[in-house]
Amino acid sequence: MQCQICNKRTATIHLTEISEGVRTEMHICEQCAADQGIAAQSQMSINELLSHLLASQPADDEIFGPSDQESTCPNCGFTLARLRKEGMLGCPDDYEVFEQTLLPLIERAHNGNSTHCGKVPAKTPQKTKRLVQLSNLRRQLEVAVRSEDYELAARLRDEIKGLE
Amino acid sequence: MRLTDISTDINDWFSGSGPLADIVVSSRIRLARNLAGHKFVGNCSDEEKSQILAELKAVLMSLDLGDEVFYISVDKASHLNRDLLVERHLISRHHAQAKGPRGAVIAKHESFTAMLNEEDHLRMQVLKAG
Repeated sequence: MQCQICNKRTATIHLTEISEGVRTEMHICEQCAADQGIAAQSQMSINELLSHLLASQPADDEIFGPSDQESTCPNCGFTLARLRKEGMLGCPDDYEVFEQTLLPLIERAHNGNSTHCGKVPAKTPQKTKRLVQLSNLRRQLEVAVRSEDYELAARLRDEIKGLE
Repeated sequence: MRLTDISTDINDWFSGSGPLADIVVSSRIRLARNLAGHKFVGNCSDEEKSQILAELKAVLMSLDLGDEVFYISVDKASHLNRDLLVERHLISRHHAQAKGPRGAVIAKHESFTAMLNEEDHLRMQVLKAG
């Protein structure tokens, strides 16, 4: 793209200005920008950007709970400290041993859900399908009650009763 | 079956011969599982990893996967061979660089691959054209 002022050099500075709802774009080269007194400056230094990003990350304690909840899996010797460090569990039993710590983490990673609520394969046994359907309906019921849509809530309640 | 055969083969999944090939080049399904009664890979001793490896290898090699299947001991493979497998998307970079007993079961035309002792005991992928 050529500079809009000198029409010779390549435009390396791209300005977008939105004023009173009108958007204007300008593409100019560095030299013309200097002549016009437009300084090419990044809005934020890298350090500033990084510190903002880090500040928006939850702290360890927020993710895993207070660090004094130390416990060890009797089967594999895995500890919460290692989960914090490695982000992976040691054996299937850990899901039960560290359930209290893991549940909020799982919910956070899955939009507040700790059980499957998505699609179910056609070949899934009826019983499993019913369980997923029930959990979905209960969630919808909660939302309906919260938003005071009692008509919908009553319908959902009847549907849940029918399935139970 | 030698690994060099793979380097000269044209993968079936890239042949453009599958259903709806004008829209879909290939489809891949992946499935990861851990064996009951064992610790997870990251927490396993080399001895336990060897046991898991032997158990899974025996089962996978006895299956009829519709193609010639071969086993590669990834921890004993050369760097060049590991890189070849990574570049062909048959194993992950993590699997190539990890430590301890681990392997891969690969069907000759690359339609099936299983990584043994990667992050999970068993990670399988099926890759088909279309």
